[in-house]
Amino acid sequence: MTTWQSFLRKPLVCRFALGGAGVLILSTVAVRPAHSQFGIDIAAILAGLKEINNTLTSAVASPLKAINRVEQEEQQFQQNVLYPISAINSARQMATSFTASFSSFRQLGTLNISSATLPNPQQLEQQMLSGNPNNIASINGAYQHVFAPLPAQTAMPQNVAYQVDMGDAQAQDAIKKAIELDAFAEREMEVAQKLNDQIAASAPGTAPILDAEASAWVIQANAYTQMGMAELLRVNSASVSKRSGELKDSTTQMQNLNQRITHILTPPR
Amino acid sequence: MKAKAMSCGASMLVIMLLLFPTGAYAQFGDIFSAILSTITGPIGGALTDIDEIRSSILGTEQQVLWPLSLIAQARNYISTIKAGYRAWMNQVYRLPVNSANLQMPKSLESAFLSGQIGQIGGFGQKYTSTYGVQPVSGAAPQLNLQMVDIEDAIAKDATVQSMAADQATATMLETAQRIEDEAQTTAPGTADMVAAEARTAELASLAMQHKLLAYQLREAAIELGHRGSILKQSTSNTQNLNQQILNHLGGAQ
Repeated sequence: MTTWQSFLRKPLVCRFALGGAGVLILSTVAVRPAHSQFGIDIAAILAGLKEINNTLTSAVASPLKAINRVEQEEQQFQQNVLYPISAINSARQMATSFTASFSSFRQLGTLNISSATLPNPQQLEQQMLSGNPNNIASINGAYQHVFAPLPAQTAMPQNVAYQVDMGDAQAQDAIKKAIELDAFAEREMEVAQKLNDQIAASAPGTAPILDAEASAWVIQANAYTQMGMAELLRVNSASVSKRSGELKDSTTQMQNLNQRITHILTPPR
Repeated sequence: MKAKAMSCGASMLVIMLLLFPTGAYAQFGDIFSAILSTITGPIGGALTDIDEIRSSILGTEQQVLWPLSLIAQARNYISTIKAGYRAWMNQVYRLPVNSANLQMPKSLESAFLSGQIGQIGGFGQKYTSTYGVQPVSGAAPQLNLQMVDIEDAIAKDATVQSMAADQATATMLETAQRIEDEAQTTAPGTADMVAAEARTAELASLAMQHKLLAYQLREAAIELGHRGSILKQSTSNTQNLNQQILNHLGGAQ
């Protein structure tokens, strides 16, 4: 028996050997299946993941499913009730069908009318109906060629001259305003036609923008109507004033004439 | 002896089996708990809140903003308005207002009430037949001839424009009724498109009103011009007459 053999037969050595073998078996058989290459416990992870899955199902998937249902219901409500494609197309088709009407409005508003036969009235009529604000400056000349210019200051009493000048001025003011109104009307019909074309290509979400634009133009147009009505009021007032002025003048003239005739017919004392 | 050694090894094995898995579980347990806590807390809670809010919004839309019953009620309202007014208003609109008795005035009236610009062609002749022809040159003072001419011209122009306006009115009424028909079937979301169209038509109508107002202004201006011109003439005539009377009576100064 060698020294090495006697050493192996010692009880303590034998116990250590057995324990070491146990540890070896543990590390090779029992522990290795429970550890991956990173040293993680798969069973524990699986258990944790299963729990996460259960939680996701109850705490996340369930509310998401409910949200999805609400969103679908919302989508259906929008598509079927609020913004049905059929209603969108119908509104667009309506606008398209009005294209001819708006074109007709423009034509009816810009008829080439000319009725005067004499040269001066023809010139005045042409300028009055031109709808061109550049012609406003030359209205005075055309007007005077038809209705006669203001007589010289010595040709009539001053009060009559004032009335004549005022009447001519207000008549010309009204003609000039009429030219402005014609010009505005032409632009308004042009814008209306363009707005109609835009509406034919609009979406429900953009229609309020066009509505706002059209509303702004309507307000503007109403303002021009007020302007025209105010001018009409003035020119009608001028007619009333003129009638009153004429009556005053004729009264004064008759009084003067009577007085002078009486003076002539009365024999000198 | 051998049994003791075996029991010692087995106990170590059991200890190792018990200790190792427990150690791994403790290592991931905190993470999983944190994840689960996040899922059930902030995420799950937020999703539940979103669901409640979306449901509330949908409920508001369907029950407060656009309840189907009120949509139907609005459409029924339009239907009732149409049924109650449209036919009657169309009937009144089409009532004839012709009033002339004699042949030429009747013909002229028929032309300017036609609402057809196609009638403009023969309008001038009918006007002349009713109101007389322009006096020839020399038949009256030039000033009077010019006034007659411009007044006839403005009257004819305005009447022709009124015929065009009548035609535009008929088209505008058709447009209005078409818009009303559309309003009856349109959806709440597309009603703005119809409203924009109505506003646009309103603008076109105002434009036509401006044309007519311009003619009113011109007619009033011409009337004023006429009175001014007459005043100029009468003043001059009166002064001449006065002078002649005074001359005749020997009282001239």
